[in-house]
Amino acid sequence: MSGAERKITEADFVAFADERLEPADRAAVEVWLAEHPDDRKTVEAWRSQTAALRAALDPTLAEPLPAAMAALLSSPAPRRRSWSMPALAASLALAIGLGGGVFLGQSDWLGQARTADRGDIIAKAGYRAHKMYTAEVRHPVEVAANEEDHLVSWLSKRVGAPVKAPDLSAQGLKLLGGRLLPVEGDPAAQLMYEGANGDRYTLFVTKSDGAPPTAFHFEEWGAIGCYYWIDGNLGYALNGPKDRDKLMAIATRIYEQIS
Amino acid sequence: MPIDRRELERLIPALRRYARGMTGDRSSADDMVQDCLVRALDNERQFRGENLPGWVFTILTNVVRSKMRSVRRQPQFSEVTDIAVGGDADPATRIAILAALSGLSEEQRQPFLLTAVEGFSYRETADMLDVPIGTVMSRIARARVALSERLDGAPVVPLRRIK
Repeated sequence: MSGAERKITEADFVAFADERLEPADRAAVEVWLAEHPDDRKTVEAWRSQTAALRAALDPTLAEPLPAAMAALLSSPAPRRRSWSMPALAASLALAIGLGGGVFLGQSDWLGQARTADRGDIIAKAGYRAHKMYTAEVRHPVEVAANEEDHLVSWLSKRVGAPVKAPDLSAQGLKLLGGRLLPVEGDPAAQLMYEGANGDRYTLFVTKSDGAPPTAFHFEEWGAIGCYYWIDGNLGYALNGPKDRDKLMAIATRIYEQIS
Repeated sequence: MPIDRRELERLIPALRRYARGMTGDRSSADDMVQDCLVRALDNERQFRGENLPGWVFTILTNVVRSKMRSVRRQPQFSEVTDIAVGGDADPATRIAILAALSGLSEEQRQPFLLTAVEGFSYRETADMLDVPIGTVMSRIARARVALSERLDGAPVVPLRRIK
């Protein structure tokens, strides 16, 4: 087949300008363009568009990596901490409060493995989301606290279980709002609170995925501390500045209001 | 499967370039890339170990799409320095091409930037945007025609008329 007989389409011009044609097709388009100066002008203009666009956007490539992105990639695996006495005491108190401390007698090792795994996922995802969004000045939240009713019903609907926004005013924290996030492909909610001094705390909530309830566990990442636990069909991770006593007090206050 | 952090880091400049071209605004673009990286790390179990650039750019195109939809905005290339500082491009040409780019619809800009600037194949781009390959081709053609019209037609920098 002679090149000139091949039907030339708009897609061929696009692919020709992008230099994505196979040699035989390219030859056919070249034959056509030699005979059609207007089309040749168009295709040449398209090639200079690409060059101009790259010249305009490429300098971005040379910019230094923003600190927030570098931090995200280098965030270490959380350092596993043993139980602290206050946390143990508090969780014992919670267990008794729940009526009998059934979950402390958990002997199903499979269930325990599942809990550890899910708890770990929730803690890590909660931490990443905390780190990312508490640093935001312009868009810390997707839906602000002035639409609290909408926020809570939207997040509950998406997470698939009732998500509550606890009142933490006794701890000096006010609700800023919240957002929807993915965790392992499932929807998760993040609620953000702020203290008078600008300290931010986030409560990360997602489905517990069948993991049995746990008491409070503590993890830390640099200056950030995290209490996480699983209760009913939801898992929670509270992240904030690493003052364990204060975090414990806040976690306890949250637990009291949502259970 | 777990993502190689160094490989992911090497993609960041291109991710930022793409987001910058889509939004026209440095801080919004970087917010989107940050969001994309968080999602990639949180969902790394879903990564099948092939074509990390394609996988991560798919996440970014979804982030860009939902963010731009939620704020209903067209890119605002208010200042060229907002896109990128430096480079060899003549400033007037740069302003002209970016202004023309901002006039394209989001549907046209996406496949156009993914192929012409980011170098993805038409097939990869079609998969990323979840549209047929023919649609990708025709959107790129429309983007190119619209860019040519804008670049040839209207004056690059509107002149202020003095009475």
